Amino acid sequence: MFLRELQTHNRLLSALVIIFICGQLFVILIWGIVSTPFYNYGMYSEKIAIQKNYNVFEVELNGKRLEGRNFSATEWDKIMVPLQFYAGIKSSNALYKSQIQRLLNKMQINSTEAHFIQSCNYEQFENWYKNYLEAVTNQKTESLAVTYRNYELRSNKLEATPSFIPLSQLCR
Amino acid sequence: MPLTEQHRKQIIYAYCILFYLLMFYKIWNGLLLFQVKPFLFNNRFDLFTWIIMETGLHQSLLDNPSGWIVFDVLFYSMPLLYLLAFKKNVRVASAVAVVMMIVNFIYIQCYTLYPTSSIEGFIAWLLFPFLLMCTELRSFYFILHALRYFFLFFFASAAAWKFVQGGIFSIEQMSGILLFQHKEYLASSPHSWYASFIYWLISHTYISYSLYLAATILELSFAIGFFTKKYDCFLIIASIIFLLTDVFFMRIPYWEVTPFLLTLLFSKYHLPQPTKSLAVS
Repeated sequence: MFLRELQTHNRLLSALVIIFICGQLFVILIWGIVSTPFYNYGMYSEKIAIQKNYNVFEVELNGKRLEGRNFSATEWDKIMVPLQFYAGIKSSNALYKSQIQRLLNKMQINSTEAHFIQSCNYEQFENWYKNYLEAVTNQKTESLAVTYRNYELRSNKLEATPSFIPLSQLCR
Repeated sequence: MPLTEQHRKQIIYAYCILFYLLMFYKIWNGLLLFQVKPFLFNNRFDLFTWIIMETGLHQSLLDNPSGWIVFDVLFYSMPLLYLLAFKKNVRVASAVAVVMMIVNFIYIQCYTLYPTSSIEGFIAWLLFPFLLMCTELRSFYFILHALRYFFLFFFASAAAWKFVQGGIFSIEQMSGILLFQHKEYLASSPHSWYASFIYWLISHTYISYSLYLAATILELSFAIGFFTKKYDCFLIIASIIFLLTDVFFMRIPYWEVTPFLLTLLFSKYHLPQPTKSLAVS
């Protein structure tokens, strides 16, 4: 009904709307790959079981551990997400090697590796993160230690285990 | 009652007000590009993104303070420029909306490659410029309704995915989500009231699952909008409840989708007659 009315009004506009619907349907049918502005809105729709172990970032600033309760949700995300990005450099690079390069080549686009690949330079990241943390926490950064620690779920509470990896070794 | 030029003005002004309220929210939370100070990016599975990345634009913005300011100024000045043009001439305003669409696509592509938010949340800023491009009132009506259908799809498909992917069939789903979503918070502040509350939900799997189920039913209820506009007021309330509970239980602010509420708010107005004047006073 809506599409018929739209087609009577303006064929071009109706074609654009139909193209959008087809694009969205295509992205739904081949779940996993999207193309702006066609996305899948299925966040947290896959089964997520309770795990026995979780890996957690611990940030120690000037000898004191940063605690989530002292920050707003956005501030806490600003502290944590860059760490996830740094730790994820290798998998981001792997996505380029395994998929992006191949699919761009299929579209006759010669991809430039340097635009997709990042190197793991911990010293540079640490310098940037120290300055960044100063803006988020309003504290001068004198010392910083970031670890990726394993936690165990015991009686429905996360308990720290002795097993951890320093952030500097997460991306090598 | 048909949609009038007065309604169109109200929608455009409301859109711009929402845009600038969200800008102040972002400034307050240090989320503008010049405050985020991007240093690294993350590849994602998006064909359009790869084409933008191929230009190297996202890399030229790394550690580039003047570039951040230029980008922020460009992106946040667009609605204001549009409003100024809209007051003078609707055709010029339409051309500004085309520029706005290009700027929004590029800014959002780059912004979401850095450690900020996921790109899906910015869909309103990507699609609304198409509404602003309309010079004719009848075209404006149709695109407004197309956006309304999109917003219904946005929620209803989120519910559908929970059935397709199986999340809805797992009783421990919400407890698993809460642990995954808040693990850093729980580990760093185990004795805070919020951590105690989240732990309580995690250990009461049936209660936490009922929250997940309620959210799914709420999302699914948007499907009714495909058949009737009668319940659009309830859908506005449902959207606001969803956004507020998302902040409370998940600590995920999804405010950028609020412009879509305008499509539900103005859906009661009918298609204007073809003879309607196109001029904007």
